[in-house]
Amino acid sequence: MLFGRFPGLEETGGPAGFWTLRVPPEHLLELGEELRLAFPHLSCLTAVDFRDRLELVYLLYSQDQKERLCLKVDLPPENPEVESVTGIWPTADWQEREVYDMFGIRFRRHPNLKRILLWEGYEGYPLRKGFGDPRPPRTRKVRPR
Amino acid sequence: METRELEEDRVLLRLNLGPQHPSTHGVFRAIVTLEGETIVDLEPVVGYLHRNHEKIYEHLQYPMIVPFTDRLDYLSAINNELGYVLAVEGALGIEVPERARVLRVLFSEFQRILYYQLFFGTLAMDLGATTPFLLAFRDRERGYDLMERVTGARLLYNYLRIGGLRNDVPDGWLRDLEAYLDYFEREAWPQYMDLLLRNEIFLLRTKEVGVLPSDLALAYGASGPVLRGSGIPRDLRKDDPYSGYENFQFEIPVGERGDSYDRCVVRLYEMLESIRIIRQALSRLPDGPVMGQLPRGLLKLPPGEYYQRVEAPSGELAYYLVSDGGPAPYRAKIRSPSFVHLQLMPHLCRGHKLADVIVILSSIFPVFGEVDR
Repeated sequence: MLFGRFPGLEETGGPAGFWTLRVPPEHLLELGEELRLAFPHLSCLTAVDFRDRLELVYLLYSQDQKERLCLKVDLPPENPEVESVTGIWPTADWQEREVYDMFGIRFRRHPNLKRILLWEGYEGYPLRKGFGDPRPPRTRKVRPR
Repeated sequence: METRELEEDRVLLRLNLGPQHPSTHGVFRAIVTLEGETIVDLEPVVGYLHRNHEKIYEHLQYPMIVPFTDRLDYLSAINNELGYVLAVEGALGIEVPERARVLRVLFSEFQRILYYQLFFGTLAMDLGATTPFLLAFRDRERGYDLMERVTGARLLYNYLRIGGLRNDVPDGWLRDLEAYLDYFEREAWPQYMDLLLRNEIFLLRTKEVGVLPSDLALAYGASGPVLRGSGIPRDLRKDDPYSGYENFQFEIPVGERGDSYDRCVVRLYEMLESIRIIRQALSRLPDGPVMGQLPRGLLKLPPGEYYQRVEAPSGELAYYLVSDGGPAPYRAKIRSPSFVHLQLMPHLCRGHKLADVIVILSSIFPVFGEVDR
């Protein structure tokens, strides 16, 4: 039923025990609205950097914790942007901020999208695979004998 | 930082609390907007203890990560280790010997008791009472002595292994643990209850303060005692059992109103349930090895994703591991309950007085090693 209404939605591999769906970014919000009653508990929201793409992962549980659903959204590594789900699962607020902080994914219509664990003005996104330490290499001082 | 601003016809005062305030249990900063002494808004600022555990894990082989997980919620090291080793064992399909499984349950519950003892002590301390704090440390000392005899460390144990436990308990240790539990249940616990629940200051400061309605708790992903304080009996040990918890009988204490008082009392009663679980574990502890058979050579997870949740004393702790088949995780994510719970602070504090911020923060009991990771 869902597959007919959301073109591009497909089943994919995910964590063991989870029914996993790959969602086109433009349908995420609509699908979330559809699923919020069946899966009210957003346990974990995170991202993975696969170099050629960024993958957002939403791990959802039903009220009695028995049913599990995983949503995955693929985003391009340059200027990744997706709709915020804070309106559906308020707990996404800080978790989206953390993903923004660590991966640089911007969430549209997020109430307060700014860095959370790192400070404002920090350059780079540490959990991206291409992230290198911007500081100059440490020189080793050897005490003369 | 202190700024005054006029908004409509109200005088608002913006005040900075922390990050080094002694009542914040670590390094927590809150920017509080006040009207008089009443809180209009509160903005939590976290990240002062950030070490980027998740990035460090990407460079470590799987067994090397175990001691790092100790340092997440440094008060519940065993529970953190348990979540991680269960995730890896689930991925590898390793059978853990029954004795190790029961001992893991025993140690998680013992850790939970020690954790709530500190919660009890610091909550009272934040309300200005020193006696409960000293009593809690009197009992904690003995508990940590017991842990030290098994693991060699008092706080960060590095005790669980992928496939089992590092070592078995020493001779006579189980008897001493039983004696400690008897003492704690008969003497210390009733004393705790008397000191809190018959203390008028405590009742006045916590009742109807920081009320968390159950729908708000669910929407914000609350778990553990924070959710149970709001009257929802959810406990992953029952709802999503792991490590053989389905074989143990225990109750889930729940609160009624969801205020700071309920969150505190729920934790106190959970100590009794933990004792119950430990007694059952002691009575059915089988003989045998405590370490299972691991695959030979470098430990590598099959490519794929793994998600494992456990009920840590602070709530729902989970590890999300992505493997590309290498000896280190491609990506490791820690779902930390304290981080999620701190989002609730503005909702709980609005409309209360400035002094109540301390109580509400204590009743959530975030541990900043876990919030900031």
